[in-house]
Order: sequence, then C-alpha cells, then structure tokens
Amino acid sequence: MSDHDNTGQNADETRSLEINGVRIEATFAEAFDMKATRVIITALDEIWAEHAAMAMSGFGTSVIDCKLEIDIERRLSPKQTPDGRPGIALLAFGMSGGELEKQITRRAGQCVLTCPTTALFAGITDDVPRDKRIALGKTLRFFGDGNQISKVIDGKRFWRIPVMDGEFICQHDAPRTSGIGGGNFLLVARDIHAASRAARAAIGAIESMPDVITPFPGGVARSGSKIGSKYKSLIASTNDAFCPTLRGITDSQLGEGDNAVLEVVLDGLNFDAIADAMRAGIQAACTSCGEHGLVAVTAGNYGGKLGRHHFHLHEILS
Amino acid sequence: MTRWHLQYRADASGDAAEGTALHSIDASNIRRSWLAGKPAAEINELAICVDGRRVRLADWFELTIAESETDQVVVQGPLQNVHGLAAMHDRDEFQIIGSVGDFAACGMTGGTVCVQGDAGDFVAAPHGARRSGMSGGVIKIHGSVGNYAGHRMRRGTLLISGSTGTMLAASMVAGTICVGGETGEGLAVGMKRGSLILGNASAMVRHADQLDDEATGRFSSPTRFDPAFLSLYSDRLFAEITQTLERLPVFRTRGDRTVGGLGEVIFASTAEMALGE
Repeated sequence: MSDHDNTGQNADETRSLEINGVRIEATFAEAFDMKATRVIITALDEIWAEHAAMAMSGFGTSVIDCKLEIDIERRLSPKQTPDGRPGIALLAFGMSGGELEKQITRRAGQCVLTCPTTALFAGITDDVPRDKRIALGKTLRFFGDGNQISKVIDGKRFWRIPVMDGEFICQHDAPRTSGIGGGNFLLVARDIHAASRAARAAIGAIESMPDVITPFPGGVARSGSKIGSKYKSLIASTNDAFCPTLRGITDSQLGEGDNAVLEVVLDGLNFDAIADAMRAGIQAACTSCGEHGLVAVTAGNYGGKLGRHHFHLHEILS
Repeated sequence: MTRWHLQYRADASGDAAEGTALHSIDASNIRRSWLAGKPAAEINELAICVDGRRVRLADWFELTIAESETDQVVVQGPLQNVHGLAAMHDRDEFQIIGSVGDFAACGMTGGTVCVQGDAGDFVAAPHGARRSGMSGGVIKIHGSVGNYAGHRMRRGTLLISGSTGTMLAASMVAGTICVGGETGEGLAVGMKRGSLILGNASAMVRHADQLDDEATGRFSSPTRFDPAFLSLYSDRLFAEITQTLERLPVFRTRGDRTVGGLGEVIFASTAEMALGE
C-alpha cells in the first residue's frame, strides 16, 4: 500500500491486472485527511433506532455542500450497546473539527433527540483532550430547561433530559479522531443494469466492514466530480472524462462500449480500513458481474495533488 | 504504583482480649495522596489521633508496601472505632476490610472506596468544617451504614448493599446514592438535587404514612418512571442492589419540596406497598 506516497506512481501499475475478466486500471484513488467521530444511537427497538439513524445521516453524502459525510457503519445487538438496547453506529467525517462538531450537534438535536425512545452515546472510547471532543449532551442538555440531570458513570458523564416519552439519555461528548475521506473506485460497465448490479455487490461486501462508510445513496454516486468548473461559483463539476454522453466532445477515458459508470466513495477511520473495503468491494463486483457487463474498475485521483493518501488498485488487489 | 497494606495491631491497643477496638482512632490522615512517594520509615511516623492523643501510625498499624498496577490503600482489622478512613480520598482504590467507624470516605473527591463490612455515621459527608460532602468517585459498602450517610453529598456514587440509619441523603446537593436494604427516618431531608435509588422502599413508605400532612409534603406524588439510565451502570454491586427495580413497577418522587428541592427518589413498588400493608 502507499499511504502518503506523493508521486502518484507505482511500479506495480506497469503490469496489467484482470479479475474475472474485468480490467483493473493501473491507477490510484486519492484521499485526504478528515476529522471523524462515531456515535451510537440506541432505542427501544430496531425500528426507532433505524429512523433516528436514517434522519441523522440524511443529507450527509459529501462535504462539498452537506459539510458532513455521515452514514450507518453497522447495526449493533443489545450486547454491543452501552444501555443494552438495539443500536446503530454511525461514522461521521468533516473537513475540520469545528465543522464536524457543528453538524453533529445540530443533527443530534434535530434527528435523535426528537426520535421516540432513543439515546445517544459516543462510539469511540479514546481518551482525548477536551478540545478534541464533540459536544453531544453538553449542548443538548439545555433543552431540559433546568430539569436535566447529570450522571457520571464509570468516569463518563451522561445527561438525562426530560422529554415527553420519558428521558432522553445522551452522553456529554464524543471524542474526535482523525479520518480519511475520498477513497473511491469506479465501476465501468456496458450498461446501467450491469453497473447497478456490480455496485450493489460491492456495497453488499463493504457494508458489514468496520471503520468505514460509503456515504452516498445506496453507497454509490453517479455524479462523480472533478475539481473546478467553468462557472466561478462552483468548486466541483461533473467528471466529464467518465460521462458516456460526452464521449467525442471531451477528453473521455471511456471506451466505445462503456455506457455507464458508477462510483463507490469511501470514508474510513484509517488507511487499512479503506483499503480492505476497496478490495472487498472490487472483488465482489468483479466476481458477480465480471462476465455480465462489468468491463473495468478504475479510480479517481487528481494527480496526487489533493490528498496524501493514495490507494493503488493493483497494490490493494495483489 | 504502590499498594500500602495497613493491618490494625490489636496487640498495641490491648483489644485482643475483648475482640473489638475500644479506642477512638482518627485515621483521616491516612491518605493515598500523602502516602504516594513516601518511604516506609516516614509513613510509619505519620501522626494519627487516638483518644485525642497524637501517636505514630506504626504503633497502631503494621505497614506492608508492595508494587501494584494502581495505587491501592488497604486497611484491615476490627476498625469499628477507626474514624475518617479514606477521608478526602482522591484517586485509585482504598479498600477497608472489616467494619469501619464514622466519617468513612468523607470529603472524597475521586477513585473508589470499598468497605467489606458495615460503616458508621456520616459516610461520604463533609470532611471537617467543609460545606460539601463527597464530590466524586465511587463508594461501595458491602454492609449497612449509620446515620447521615451522603450528608451534603455533591457528586459521585454511594452504593450501600445493606440498610441505613436515619437522615440518609440529608441536604444532598447532587450525586447518586443506591441502597439495597431498609432506610431510617428523615430520608432526604433538605435534599436539593441528586438521585436516591432504593432497592427496598417499604420502610420509606411506612415512615411517610406515619407522618403528618406537612411532613409528607416534602415529596411530590410518586409517578411511574422508566429508569432507563440504570442500564448504564455496569457495577455488580449496583446490579444486585437494583435488581428489584428490574422486575417491579418503578416510581419516582421529587424532593425535598419544602426547600424547593428537585432531588429524585426512585423506588420499586411491591404488592405490600401498593396495598398499604
């Protein structure tokens, strides 16, 4: 693997690689540093936990305009949660600690506090300094209008905020850690049906993996972007090199029969988590659709200028 | 880290024949923060107070020092007349093996104090002339306690597996007290905030029934309550004390209303209590 390799090139990329007849391009995905945290939502049952998690992770696909990339990491059994109820762990990534805190606090207040029977806990146990912690109950407690109750249990502070179904229990704050955003791979297919099947196979392999999320709808983005635009107000615009309808007009990277491309974007808590997820996703996509319309797998990068984390496809899959 | 083991010298006190300590010993000077880094010789010279006289620690306790993963003070013996043990305890562990006298863990600020026996009056109360009682940490008492447990307690957790004397949680400011056995009269008098969790509330209800209208006005009407936060406690003693709350309807009352207090008393309702028997 080549974490922090700024050349963007690798010796392994001179050879060709295929998996189940799918060409793996000799390129790399370029990812960048982010700030991250994990929160755990629990509820009386899985249904309420799911509602809260879906609300909290809504409009959290890309930092470009959502300011936060957030998604469900995994479902938790009652034995895995702090209060012994069914739960869901979410991973959230922001470009700065301040923006991450702002978004998490807002979403916790509007999406979890409001959802019946839920409770909210930190999902990272690291002992970090106070200035690297994200306020949860620390801010939300004021909703209790003076009737909130603090409890310190095993060294952790929790808030009990009176609400109409009883009490909303919320941990005081959650540690913030470093993360990596922008891991990706692109599935190039004959048609959208093959691309869709391959993408779903990839996401199916990734979704159970720890420390990583795929924040776009269904884990997949069709609107891959490049940096910049002819319009000055936009910081990103359509990745024309992979738009099949723009072949012949722009400098396309698609072949004659490449008619649909879908992108899987990954954020993770560390390099290995993203690399493992990319490997699992690509292998699943190739295995399920290699002879059914999936043509190639490639990745998005900016020549090594944007991010210091480079995921070389050939290295990951060798 | 260090483990200081202090064995009470029954021979020094002349108590061996009676089998119990007759002398009143103020051991509030035995503190982890003071012991840390001191050689055995210096610790042995620590002044403690016996029947109002300053004496050497070594005359009354036999000291053994060993390496440990965490700082650990262990005091062992018939300690019913040894007062102020674990006073102002600040971090790591303070173990008391045997029943202990008054003012155990008074003014404690952190760490854990574990009493393998009963404790006297004023557990977790203010130390000396201070205003506030215990302000952090956990006290586990595997027995019963005397009067004024948790007096003016400000933070922290006090777990009592047995019963309590009178005036439990009097003038409590915050924190959590959890009692497995029966409680005496004057419960939560002047309580401002904090939580009092009772595994056995029959004595409390009996006392309340005996009081006149003015006194019963100290508590709000009990209402059904889902104590979801109890599941956050992983301590085994806490689980033992609160097991009745898992299988019976739980109620909560707020008090002491005569001082505008918003403390909470959480208890389970038994069939006898519901029938007023």
